[in-house]
Amino acid sequence: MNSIIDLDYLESLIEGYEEDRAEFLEMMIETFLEEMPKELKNLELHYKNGDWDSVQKNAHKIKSMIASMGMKETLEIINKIELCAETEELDLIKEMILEVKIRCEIAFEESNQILKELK
Amino acid sequence: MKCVVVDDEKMSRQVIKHCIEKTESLSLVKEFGNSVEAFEFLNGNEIDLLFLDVEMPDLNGIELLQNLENKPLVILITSKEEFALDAYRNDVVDYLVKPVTLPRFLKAVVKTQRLFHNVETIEDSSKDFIFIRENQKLVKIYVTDIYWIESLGDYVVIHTESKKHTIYTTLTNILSKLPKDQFVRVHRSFIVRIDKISLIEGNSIIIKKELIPISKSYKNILIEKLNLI
Repeated sequence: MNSIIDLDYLESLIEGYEEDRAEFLEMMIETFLEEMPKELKNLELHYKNGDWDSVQKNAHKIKSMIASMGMKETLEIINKIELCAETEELDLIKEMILEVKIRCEIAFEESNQILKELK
Repeated sequence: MKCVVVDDEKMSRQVIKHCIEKTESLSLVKEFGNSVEAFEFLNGNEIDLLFLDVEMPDLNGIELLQNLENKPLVILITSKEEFALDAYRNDVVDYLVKPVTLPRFLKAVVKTQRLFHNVETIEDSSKDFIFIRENQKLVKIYVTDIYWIESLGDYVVIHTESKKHTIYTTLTNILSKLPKDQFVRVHRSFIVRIDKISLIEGNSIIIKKELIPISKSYKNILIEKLNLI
């Protein structure tokens, strides 16, 4: 199975400064593991409360984190969530949130594996 | 240069922090994930350079900037190119579009350092003069000789009794080096020395027979600083 995470994106940020690779990747992946579960909880909570403005803002924030981890397909889904929340086309949001959550769970496993390899 | 980072998304903040750590001339004073807390801190503390995200809930980067009384040098961070215009309007040094790469970051920092070092007040002086870098020389200008200061794109022109000095800096940077009780910003592009004002009529100031515009947003600050009877 192909990986969900693609580190090319993070590595491109430090191009030319590869001596910091391990330190930088470790810091970014640890932040992802720390922050993403909180943001996913917030996203679900805003959805349950029907607070579409917060769903949109939250999706925007998650989008940036997902982009950082090179999760291209997940990025497309979260992008749709952001747009749907903005235009209040709500039918598909529930399923899309679930899909993002499942993908993130896999990404967390992959992240832990990468951390082990880096250390 | 003392820096502060404001971005509600921690991974983006980490990228900027990493870049700051790799740059010898910069030191991180504090980081904020909440723009309202950042605003309170910035109002009570003097820093040199602010890395500011635009899209944040509650108080966005542009609103934060517009409400700050003493602006440090600012580098905006945004995920959309279209905020470039806001950057220009708000007198920021540079803007970085996410993803922020280390080489691009360093370019913005070099630009900032040039601005930062172009105008310097001598430490511990009573700030009655500034030094500016002009044609590879350091030129002393007494603040009492300044009539008004005008911004022209990336440059600032200091008008004195007999001369005009053109330097590469921002109005915000130069204002931070001048005594606050003697100078006032009256427009996005103009700072005037209060005791050189001959006349104010409608939305214009007259100094040395020149007309200087006053913009709505700065008019109240001007009125407060005038010794109005």
